[in-house]
Amino acid sequence: MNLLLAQQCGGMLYTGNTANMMAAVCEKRATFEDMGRVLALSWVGNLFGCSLFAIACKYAGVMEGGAGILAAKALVGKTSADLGPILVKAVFCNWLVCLAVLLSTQAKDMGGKYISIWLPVSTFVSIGFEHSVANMFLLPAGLMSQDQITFGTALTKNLIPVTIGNAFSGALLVGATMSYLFGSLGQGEKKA
Amino acid sequence: MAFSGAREELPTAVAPPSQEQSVSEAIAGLDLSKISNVLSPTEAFEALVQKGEANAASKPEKLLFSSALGGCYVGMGAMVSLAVAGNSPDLAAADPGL
Repeated sequence: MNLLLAQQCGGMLYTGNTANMMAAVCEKRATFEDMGRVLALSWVGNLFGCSLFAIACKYAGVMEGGAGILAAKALVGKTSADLGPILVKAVFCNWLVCLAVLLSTQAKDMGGKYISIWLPVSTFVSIGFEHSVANMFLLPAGLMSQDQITFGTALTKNLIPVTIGNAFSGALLVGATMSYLFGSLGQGEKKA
Repeated sequence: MAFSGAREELPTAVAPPSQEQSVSEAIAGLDLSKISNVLSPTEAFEALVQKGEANAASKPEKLLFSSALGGCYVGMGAMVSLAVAGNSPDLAAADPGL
C-alpha cells in the first residue's frame, strides 16, 4: 500500500534508491558521488517526512490506546536486539523491497503493480524484517508513547544498523546482481 | 469472395494458417513479447537504471521534498498496521502468527 503510493505518486524512498542508484552506477550512468548524495538526501527527507507524520498522528489522537501501546512495545523490541540479527533482518527486508520495486516496473497496469508490490512487502512485514523507512515512523511513534528509551538509543541500536543492512542488500543483492544478470556487469566489458 | 479479401488486409500478429501450415506451426512463429502484458527482466532493469539516472540528475531540494513525501506515505501504511494490530490485543495474544 505505502510503497505503491510512493512509486506512483512522486514519493521517493531511501530503500528503493539503494537499488536504482547502484544499478545506474553499475551501468556507468551515474557516479558513486551521485549515489552517496541521492541516498543521503533521501534518507534525511524520509526521516523528516516520517517523523512529521508520526508527530501529526500523535497530535491528531489516532495514536491513543492500543496503537500507542503497540508502538511502545515495538520500540522496546527493536532497540533491544543484538547488532548481528538486526543487520541480517535489514538485509533480508530490503532484498524483498527492492525485488518488489523491480517486479512492479515489469507490470504495466495498476492491478499488476499492486500485486507485485503487495506480496513481497507483506512477506517482510509478516516475518518481521527491519525496514529503515518504516522504522523512521515506528521509532518516533514509540518514543512519543513512552519515556524510558531515548532518541539516541533508537538511532544507534536500530536505525543506523538497519540503514546499513538495507543499503547492502539494495545495492548488492538487487542493484549489482541485476546488472550482472541483465546489464553490463555480466558482459565482461569495461569492468576494471 | 469479397469478405475474405478484406480480412487479408487486417494487421495480425500471426499469419493465418494456410493449407500447408498447421495451427501449431503458426503459433510457434508468434513473438510473445508483442502480446505479453509485462516487461521482460531486462527491460525492467533498464527502467531501474533510468530511475537512478534521473535521481542523480535531479535537484537536491526536489530529492528532499519527494523523500519527505515518500516518508509520509510510508507513515500512512505503518499507522494502519499500528491502528489495526495495536487495537486487536486479544487476537495478538491468542494467535501471535497474525
